Amino acid sequence: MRVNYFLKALWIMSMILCSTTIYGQEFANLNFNDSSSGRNIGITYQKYLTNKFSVAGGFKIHINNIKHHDNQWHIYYNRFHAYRLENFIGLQGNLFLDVVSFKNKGKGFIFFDVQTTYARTKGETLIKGWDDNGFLFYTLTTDVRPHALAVEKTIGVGANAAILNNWFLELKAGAGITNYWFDYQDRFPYHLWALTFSSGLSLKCRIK
Amino acid sequence: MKKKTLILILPLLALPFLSYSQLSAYFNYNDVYIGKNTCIGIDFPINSKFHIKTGLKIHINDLRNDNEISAFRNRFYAESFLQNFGAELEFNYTLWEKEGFSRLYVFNTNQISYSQTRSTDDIYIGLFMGDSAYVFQEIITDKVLALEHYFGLGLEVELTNRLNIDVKAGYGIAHFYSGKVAILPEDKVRFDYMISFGLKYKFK
Repeated sequence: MRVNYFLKALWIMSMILCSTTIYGQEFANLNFNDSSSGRNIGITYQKYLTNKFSVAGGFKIHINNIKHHDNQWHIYYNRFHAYRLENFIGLQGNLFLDVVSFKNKGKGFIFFDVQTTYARTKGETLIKGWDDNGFLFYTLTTDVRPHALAVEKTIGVGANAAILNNWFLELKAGAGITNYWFDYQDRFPYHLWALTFSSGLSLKCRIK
Repeated sequence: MKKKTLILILPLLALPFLSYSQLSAYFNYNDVYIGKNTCIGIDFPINSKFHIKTGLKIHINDLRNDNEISAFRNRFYAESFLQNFGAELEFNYTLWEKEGFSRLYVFNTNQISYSQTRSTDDIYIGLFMGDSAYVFQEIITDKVLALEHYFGLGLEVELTNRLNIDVKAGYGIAHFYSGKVAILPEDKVRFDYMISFGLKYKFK
């Protein structure tokens, strides 16, 4: 079942990419994203379908970062942790609609972003307890959960500006919904969702 | 008397620079050693390559709970209105520029803050049934003076003729002074990175 999600996502991304290889400007993008599953580096290909509308698709590489316990008791937020090679690799797709034109062909835009992550989660959690004298203490435990699939959908705004004739710097930020599907159905709910935030910094190169 | 004269003369000395330069206002979001802040200020170029920026820093309170057991890292917390404010002074020098597009520069940013600190830390007390046990503790200190100095690289990109995006990152030193708070020698000086991004608006 989990493989099916990947195949479906891969198929949709391939269809989007195949349908966009004929006309318009093309960009190669190197992205740094701070998303709800954690931080990642993305490599995407972007194609303009009309003067204002463009699509992008590609891969992302998850950056492992063990989050320590916080007072928000997050299980999945920023907690995804890659243990195997396939856990590092995720898919990323974007839709862009340019709404403002800036100097040197820079744009202000609204975007819709989809990212997938399939990995385990790892976090450190404090469990509250009392000893025999009523003394309050917390016990630190490392919480590693089975594989989960996160699909992050973000809507937001961003802008890019030309550094050189064909090189652009892009900033974007937004909010959205992340859906989580779990492997471990007998212990956890099959599906959960959360409101999440995401931001990104990109270096874009116009290749056509 | 001398002090008053100096205060009167200093702005007059600055006037020639201001009259020739292209003044800009800037707004930055900074992530530095003591926490996160925003800064609003003025940028004026002394000549074609050298800029001085000075501004008002507004601290963003963020109560941290991590296991770093750090005295000051991300721990500054304004407990009164005035403690939110600090100052920033930056010197930057253009390394490379493509006219009408972008500017790459090296910078030295200095920030001053005078505020209390607040943190929630977990103090290790031993093992309990095989797991590490911690006591949860909230610590609030008296006011501490923090001076931070960072050096790094920045990139300014022209969004419109008047509006620029500014991104920079660097590494530097933070040091702390206080008469009332006992600071451990190892906490008096710390090294850390800083990142910043923001917008700059040219007035003319």
